[in-house]
Amino acid sequence: MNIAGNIVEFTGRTAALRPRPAPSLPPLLSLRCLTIADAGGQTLVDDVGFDVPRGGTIGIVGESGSGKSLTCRAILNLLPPGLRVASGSIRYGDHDLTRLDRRGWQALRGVDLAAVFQDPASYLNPSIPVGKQLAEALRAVSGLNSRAAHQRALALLRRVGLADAEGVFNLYPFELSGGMAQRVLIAIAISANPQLLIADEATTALDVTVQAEVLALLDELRREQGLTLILVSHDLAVVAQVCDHVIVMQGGRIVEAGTTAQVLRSPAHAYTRSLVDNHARYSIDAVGQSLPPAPDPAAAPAPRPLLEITNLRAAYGNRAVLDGIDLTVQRGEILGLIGETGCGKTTVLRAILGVVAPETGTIHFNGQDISALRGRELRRFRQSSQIQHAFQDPLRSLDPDLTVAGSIGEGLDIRGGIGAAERAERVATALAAVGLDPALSVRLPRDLSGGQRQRVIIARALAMDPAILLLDEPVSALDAVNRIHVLELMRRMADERGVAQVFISHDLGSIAGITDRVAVLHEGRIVESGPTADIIANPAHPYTRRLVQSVLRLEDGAVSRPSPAEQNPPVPPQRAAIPGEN
Amino acid sequence: MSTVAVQPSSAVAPPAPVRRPRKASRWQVLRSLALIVVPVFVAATLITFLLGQASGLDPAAGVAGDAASPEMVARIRHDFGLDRPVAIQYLAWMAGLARGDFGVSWFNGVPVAHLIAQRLPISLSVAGAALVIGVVLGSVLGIAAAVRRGSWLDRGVTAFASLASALPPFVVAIVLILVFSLWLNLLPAAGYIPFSEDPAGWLRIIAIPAAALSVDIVADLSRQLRTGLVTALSENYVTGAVVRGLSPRRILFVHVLRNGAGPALSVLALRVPMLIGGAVVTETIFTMPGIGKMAADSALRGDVPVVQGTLVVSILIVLACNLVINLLLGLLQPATRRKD
Repeated sequence: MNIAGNIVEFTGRTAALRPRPAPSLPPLLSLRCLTIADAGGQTLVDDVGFDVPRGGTIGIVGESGSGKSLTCRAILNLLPPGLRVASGSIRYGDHDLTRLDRRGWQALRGVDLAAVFQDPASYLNPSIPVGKQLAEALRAVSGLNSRAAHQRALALLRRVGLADAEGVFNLYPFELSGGMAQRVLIAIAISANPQLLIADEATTALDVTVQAEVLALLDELRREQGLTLILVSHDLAVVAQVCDHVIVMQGGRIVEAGTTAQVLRSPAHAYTRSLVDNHARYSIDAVGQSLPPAPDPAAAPAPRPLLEITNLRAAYGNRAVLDGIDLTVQRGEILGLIGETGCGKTTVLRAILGVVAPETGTIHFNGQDISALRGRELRRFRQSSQIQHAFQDPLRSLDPDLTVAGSIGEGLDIRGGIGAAERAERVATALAAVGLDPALSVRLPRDLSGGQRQRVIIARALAMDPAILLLDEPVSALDAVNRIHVLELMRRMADERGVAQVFISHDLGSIAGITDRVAVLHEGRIVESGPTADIIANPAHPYTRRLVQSVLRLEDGAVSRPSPAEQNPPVPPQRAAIPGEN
Repeated sequence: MSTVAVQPSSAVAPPAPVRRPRKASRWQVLRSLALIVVPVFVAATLITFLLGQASGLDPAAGVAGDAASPEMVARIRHDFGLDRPVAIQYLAWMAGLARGDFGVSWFNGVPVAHLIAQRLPISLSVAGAALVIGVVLGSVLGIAAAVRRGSWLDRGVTAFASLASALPPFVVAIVLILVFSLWLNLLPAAGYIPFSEDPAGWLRIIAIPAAALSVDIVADLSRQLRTGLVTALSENYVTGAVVRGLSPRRILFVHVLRNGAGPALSVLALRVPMLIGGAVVTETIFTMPGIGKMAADSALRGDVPVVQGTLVVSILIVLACNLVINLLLGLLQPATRRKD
């Protein structure tokens, strides 16, 4: 898409939003023609412009690499080394943030401008109790004495929903859950009463129930403190939940912008349409429509399952992790295993792989008890490569010094018995099967995108012709588009090649679309299991009900929210996010 | 703009209660360190004692001369307690150590503790000064290289570190003597002056040996510190601290240094024993009457109690240094205390 097209599209959209009186106050933040380039001169963000009205909530949506995070980092002057603002301006009040010196930033960052990010615990110093870090931030910007800072830190921790503030104050970051860490970061971010809060994928990878709570907290703080909020996410539903306006970015450009309701109801750009459609196709709402009806179990006696886990118990030290698990997986079936962080779902996979030794219970694969295998027998069974796995973090699951072909072919080499030509062919076939160009086979993992890496890992598993594939959160690190690709690939593998799969997720929505059956794991037990559609339609266990309710739906944001003017009268009239100068 | 209200939010469910086992952990650290230090000390001293036994050396030859009669030898052995069973000798020796009694020299009958007390300050002066130079210079260079990574300074530090770690201390010592004593005639090249007699003279005389011994520390420390800090600087919590408005100085010295200094401290713990080993060489080169030289001379003379005594003292020094560094690591980085 060229620049002209860009502007035309926006002018139309802006015009449609004009009935309101012209704003009396200038926008809080105003980006014009922002272009970000790397050291080689390649443009990563191209001609991005929008206004953020005081008190407004702007969501920026796009896949990874769309430039949404870079844009935010440019606002905070935190671009990664080698990247720079090539042209354009970022106006905040009287300042052009692209030209601010160090002293100028000292007065703004942490004071007027605050931010929270994905993977919150990593944004805290691992060696210092979190309360001290909050107090430190308070003292750095407000000059409070240490006693006053301590008191205020406790008040802030309580404010963000950490009831046991004294206890949390002395905890180290690694002792916090993801949700608690994000609350602490939010407490730090609002500690200086900032004007603008940027939340960059702040709820990504949190458990769904926690995500909903954190979003609610952000929304509440925004109203209470008159914060202006920029919410960045790859998930349209997250943005729809909180924001009045949405900006959709793709390939470093804004492709669409407007009020949330408009963008969701009548997406104008093809990319936005695909985002909305994908959400409709692979989400909790899609269940029951897209799936073939589950076969009636009474119709035919079930064949002996491919994988049968009976009364599995496992513990780390004294802490019981699995407390009597029974699971079966049939050939060609996708079983979803859902539960929040720490419920033991990954331990189930590790037990199947023979990495965790079960205390009691058996794991039968094809009639053979694989939990009893030891030493040479275990190694021989592993070399038969009938069980393959793909873990959550695609980058760390690949040897950084092995090319794609090297990683995929390694298992073939270990199994042996094929020549170099056949090996190359199998690698190419596996890559083609996951929809990757075989030309990528010479690349190293760091030269691939997140979605490509995850597909390489699945290709590595597929090349071994497994009977069953164990997938641990295979799509939670991926943006919407890549997620869809991987999900569709997995469904095809089950349907066309009969590969059974155990698919772990903390998010019911992300696996609802492709699983045949779902088992809900809660505190080391399976609290509920059955055909996916049944579980979602009639969740019996309270925990399952909470999971189903926590799933974000697009409609929530667009339809059920009152318009911002009604709920927030003192805030000046909202103005549409408009693109750069026209 | 409103200030933050203090009452807890009603919309947000309180997270799970927090477990609090912190207070006991400092004692746990001390206990676990003691569990390391005591067995190491016992094992090391046992080996030291058995080495003396295994050497088969006997004071009689040295004391009585070549023409000693068997009765005389037996009497000398009895005087030194060598006719008792080995286990009894060991226990007596350990009991002596506990009282600060290291036995007497077989060579001249002087108490070993007295010999060591005379010479230890010399060795500690040199080793201590080398440690100070090494830590200060190594830290400064390492921090500077990390902060200005990619600059000529960074490359210079790396080049220096590679060169220095390839040079053994005695080579450096000889070069320093050549330059500072012989050519520039600035510093003395040999001997020792106690601090209590002439502080300035003391400093001048230990300057070259300390500098020679410190080169390895500077090189290792700056290299490890640079790597550790560069890694820490790219961590998200640094970005977080920037966003919170902390000053660059505070970010570097509070947040980055604390997390990036771990490997450097561990390397330092490994370097301290080498410092003591290096003292043997440097004290010989600079003809300083330290315990390194004494141990070497006594070993050549077969004076077992003196060698054992110096070994015990060295073991104590090494253990003490390791203890200090481990405590420091535990204080800096609570994550090392974490047990699963």
